[in-house]
Amino acid sequence: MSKQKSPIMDDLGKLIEATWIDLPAAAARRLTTGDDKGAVHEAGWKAYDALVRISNEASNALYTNRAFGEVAGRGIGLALRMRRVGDAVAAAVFGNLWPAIGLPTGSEIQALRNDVRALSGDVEALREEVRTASVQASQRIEERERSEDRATIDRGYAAVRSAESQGATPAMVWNGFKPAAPRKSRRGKNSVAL
Amino acid sequence: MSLFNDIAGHWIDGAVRTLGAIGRGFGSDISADAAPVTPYDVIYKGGKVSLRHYRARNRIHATPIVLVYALIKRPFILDLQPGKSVIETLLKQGFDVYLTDWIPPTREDAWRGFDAYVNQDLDNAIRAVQTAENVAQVHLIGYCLGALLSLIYTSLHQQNVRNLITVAAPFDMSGRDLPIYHLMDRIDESAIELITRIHGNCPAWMVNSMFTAMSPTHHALDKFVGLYRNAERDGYAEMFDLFERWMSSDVPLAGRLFTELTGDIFKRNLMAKGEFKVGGRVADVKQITCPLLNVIGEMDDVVHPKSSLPLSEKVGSADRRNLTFPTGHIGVAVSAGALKKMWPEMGAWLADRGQVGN
Repeated sequence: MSKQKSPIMDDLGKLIEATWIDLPAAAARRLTTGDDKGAVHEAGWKAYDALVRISNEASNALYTNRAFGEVAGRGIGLALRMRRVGDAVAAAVFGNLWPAIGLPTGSEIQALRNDVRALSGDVEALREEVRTASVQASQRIEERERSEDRATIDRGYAAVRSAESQGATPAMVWNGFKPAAPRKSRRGKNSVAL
Repeated sequence: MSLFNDIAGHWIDGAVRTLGAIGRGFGSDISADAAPVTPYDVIYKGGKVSLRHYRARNRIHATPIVLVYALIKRPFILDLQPGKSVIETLLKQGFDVYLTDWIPPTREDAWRGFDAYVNQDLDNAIRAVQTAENVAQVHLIGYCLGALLSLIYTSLHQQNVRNLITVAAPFDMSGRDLPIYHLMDRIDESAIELITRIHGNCPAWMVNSMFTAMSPTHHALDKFVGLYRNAERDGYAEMFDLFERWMSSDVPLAGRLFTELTGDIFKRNLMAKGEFKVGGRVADVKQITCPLLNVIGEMDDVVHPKSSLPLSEKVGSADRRNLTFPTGHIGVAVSAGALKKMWPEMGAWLADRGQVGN
């Protein structure tokens, strides 16, 4: 019948092997040959890993230990009860003292918190309104600019049409960028002064 | 001396982070979340849930997925980094995904128990999906405590669920396979009641302490040594930072839910016994008749595999299956292997049992 080794014993064995055998051997090799740094690191990490596993197993063993569980469970219960008693005593003792020295009570702080929360809600709502209004305003500006552009272009086309009707070519009166007002015909002139 | 200097540097960074967390009572608010990787819209907000909608670029499946996240810590672990995101993986498979982002409860929410979370918040969220998508049923995926919420929801509202996937579900709590369970056993119910009487809810720092107590050496030292040892690995340090941020993103547990969870679910094991009452109705998993995929991390040290395994035996579904994967509790959400193999397998399982269309 073979006995199964516990994980903690297994890891202890690995730790001993790494620290007492592997690490000194690697260190000795490094001292003699001077170039085997990797082996020292490897042995060091092996020892570290074993140590971490031992630590994990130890905490696991602690949690499953009935006595520790009882102590921890009761400790938590006791700490909570003490906190409750402390809160009650503080409320009873300082409840009347605090307002006297100008400090707010718990309910006042709670009321203040509620007010702050309500205000923060209002601010959020206002921010949303401002955001919506700003989006709408920029949309209106864009629309107006678009309509103004359209009007300018329309004026340009009107100018072209008017110029054409007076015998001028579109290229002469409208350069594509800045529609100008239609020129008056220069019937009385034969040349253009430059 | 670089080894000791580096490890000490990482340890001090960690200590500063912990001090910051202590300063805010370990309570995390939504503004402290890591930046989202995948864009989303919030389509519903009510009670203590905000429902996010992630849209697939090439949607194939008509039935959307509702991903029910746990009530512990913030959900950005499911969308951590490009290429390391559960959400991204599901979207790539052609599903639209809805995620429950649980809003941290305040003292005024101490009355909230499973009834409020399941029959009000989750039910309203699923109704919002049904309305938005014009579908009668959804695929439900629950992770950790979210799996428990999904189980209860499906037991009580089976008609709304087409397929159910539970990931790391704490179901049968009769075993005491994890050492921390023994310790929790020793805390009597009067102490639990005192916690809620004093604090209203179970404070975030208590939730954090429980996680730290599960592996104290890891949290005190080993994770910093791990960072030093893996410093050369591409993206490890960045991932470590994000992960640490998530680890300290604890949120309080609503008072009533906390007492129900510790008393009825953990100590009395009423869920596995089919006797857990929610809003006056018994949430018995025998009432679940839709296909069930029960996903289990073989190395889960938060919800022991033995706690999840019996679920598939207890449901009323004819189509039920366990899928075990060699990973831990958080590994199911972030490990490269899970994202590459496990989640695509889950998607394929849903696709086989869903409607195709736009």
